Amino acid sequence: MKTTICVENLSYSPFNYEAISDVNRITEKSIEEICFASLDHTHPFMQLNTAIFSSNAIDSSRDGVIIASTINTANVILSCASSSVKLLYLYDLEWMFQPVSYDYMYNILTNKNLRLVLRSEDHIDPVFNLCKREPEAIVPEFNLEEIWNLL
Amino acid sequence: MKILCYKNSNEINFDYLLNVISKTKHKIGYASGEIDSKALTEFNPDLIIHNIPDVTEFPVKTKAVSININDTDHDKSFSFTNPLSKQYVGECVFLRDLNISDNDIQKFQSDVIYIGSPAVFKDLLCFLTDAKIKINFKFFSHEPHNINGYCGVCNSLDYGKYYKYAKASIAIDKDKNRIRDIIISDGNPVLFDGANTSECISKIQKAISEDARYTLVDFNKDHILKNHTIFDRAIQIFKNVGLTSIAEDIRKQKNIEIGNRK
Repeated sequence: MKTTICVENLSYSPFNYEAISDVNRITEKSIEEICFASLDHTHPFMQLNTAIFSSNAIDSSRDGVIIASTINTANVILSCASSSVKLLYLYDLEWMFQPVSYDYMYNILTNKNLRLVLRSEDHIDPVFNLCKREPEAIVPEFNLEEIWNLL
Repeated sequence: MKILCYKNSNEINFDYLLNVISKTKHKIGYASGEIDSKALTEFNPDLIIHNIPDVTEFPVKTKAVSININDTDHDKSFSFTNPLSKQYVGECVFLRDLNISDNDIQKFQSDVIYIGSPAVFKDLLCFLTDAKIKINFKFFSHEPHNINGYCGVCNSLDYGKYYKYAKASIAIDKDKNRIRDIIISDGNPVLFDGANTSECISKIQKAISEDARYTLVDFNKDHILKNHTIFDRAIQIFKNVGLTSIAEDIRKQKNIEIGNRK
């Protein structure tokens, strides 16, 4: 499936490690069209066996899925005119570590064009408390095949 | 009349005062940081209102009357915060817009709301943040809190909307200005005295499950709106320095704003 993973950058983070490892695993044995779109032009911190584009390439994504992992990248993918499914795989409750505007978060998390998947069951209550929305699924470790099965 | 508003530092009451002045028909100029004396001469203000600390006159000499929002001992200096100050004007509430569209109701709804760090609630906080109890507790703070209920930061102009659409708005019983804010926003105040946690929990539970509403003898909405708004403090300041025409303009503006809330 055509998949674009939108990240803040490609330097080390737990999410980037999981996502790059999973993409490398899939591209080794299949010809799925998977790419990364990075908001910051950083060199990947580990070997990445697929294409990397800048964020403006997200607009070219058609009939696939675009995955964001943060509130900020979710905002970027929502602002793109693309026929692909837009999905937020919320890796962390990021507002608990740095102050984020409630209006901004609420408007993104309740956007009907954004499908929501969480990483942990422990995140269900805080997200529901914030925006009264329940996730479609919990995927504890980033796994594209599990996400594709939801679509 | 030309009024120059010079902001030296962020102070919520000073910001509210400038907001009130901006609603009058007078020509207003705003400045902060380094003072450009050439620009000041060109603007040629009749009145300067500033919050530079420890000065009794605006640092650049002009013909303008200088109103100082600081704690200096001077007949044109006024303090919102220091009761020992000679010209203490007292705490006051800011009239915020409470209107929202139907689509936004869910955004402002909660079981319990608090704006600020809830550490002051001690044992009560354990109850509010207990995931098993399933209370929709929301609180906002500029400082991140890694506990249930933390929802980031919110716009200060929206405080009243959160109070209005919460089933209970908690406050410490000594926090009089916050209580006034809750009352004028048609919120449901549940006060905590710092000791009686079980009574406060019981009140919160009744507010959530039975829609119990609480009234406070010492806080009457009409009285607050009549006497304790930022408009009243601005009127008091301008009357004290002899600028009765501006005071009258502000009084008219207050009547319009109060009328819009009804």
